[in-house]
Amino acid sequence: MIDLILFYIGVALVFIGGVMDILATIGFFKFKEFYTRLHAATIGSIGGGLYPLIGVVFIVLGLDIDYNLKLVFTGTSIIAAGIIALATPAGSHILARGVYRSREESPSVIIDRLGEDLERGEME
Amino acid sequence: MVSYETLLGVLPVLMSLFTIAMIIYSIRVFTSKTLGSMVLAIDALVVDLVVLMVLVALYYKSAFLLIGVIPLASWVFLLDVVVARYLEKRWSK
Amino acid sequence: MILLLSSIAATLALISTILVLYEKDVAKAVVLAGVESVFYALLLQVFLAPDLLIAYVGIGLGLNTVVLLYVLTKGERYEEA
Repeated sequence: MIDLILFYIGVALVFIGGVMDILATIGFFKFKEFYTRLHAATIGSIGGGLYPLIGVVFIVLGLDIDYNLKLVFTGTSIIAAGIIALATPAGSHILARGVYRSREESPSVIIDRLGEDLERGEME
Repeated sequence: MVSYETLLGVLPVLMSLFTIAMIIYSIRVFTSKTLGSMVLAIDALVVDLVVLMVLVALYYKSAFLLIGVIPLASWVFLLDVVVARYLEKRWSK
Repeated sequence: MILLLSSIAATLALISTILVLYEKDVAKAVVLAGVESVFYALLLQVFLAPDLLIAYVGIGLGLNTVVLLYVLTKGERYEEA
């Protein structure tokens, strides 16, 4: 009974992850600028990467396969989910900083105080 | 224990969702104007492909196919760091 | 089903290779070459070749991107037509 519940919880998590991935692709096409596309990238990486990997753990725990295979799948999925949850927000943050400082794209705001400070050479 | 044939019944639905997402992300990567937008779309694309690779390994019931998952997940962070460092160096010159 | 997935990955890798050929911005071309290697990694996984897969991820993705972008900081970004 408990393995059936675990299996269907896992399938539901992977399904939710796939739906959020497709929603993130729609967001990538709707937003026209780099700085607003960061929202869609967060949905695509956390909702489309972290949830399905946790769901795979639940699927494997309820499945009738070899015991060693079960351990390998669980460990790899948890480690990959941890890497994605820690590294992807840091990566998009450092990428936004690099794009802003290199004047690759200018943000569509009314007043840009950080840009003025960078022009005067106050913030290094 | 849930049998393996039950998984084979639901696995095509799950894999087709991620495959559709992979195609649309690729179109976004190929048609993007600037370098920043392209790298941002590649982040989401590679995270999507990591999940797809785990599902393919689950389809074949093989543990050796999981060997590429963790290096691919850490390559995303490496690409972000390298591209950001390149852009900042170009500005300071 | 699994062969359909591999055919889609091969087609996207082919499109990526053609785009690398006609790209004027060298930094975007380097990143697009990385995308091609990502699709090859998925293709090699479907064809049950994990040894080639780990070589592709290590060399084609990691070393290629890092070394070429480091070299590009000392040169011109846009190539002349």
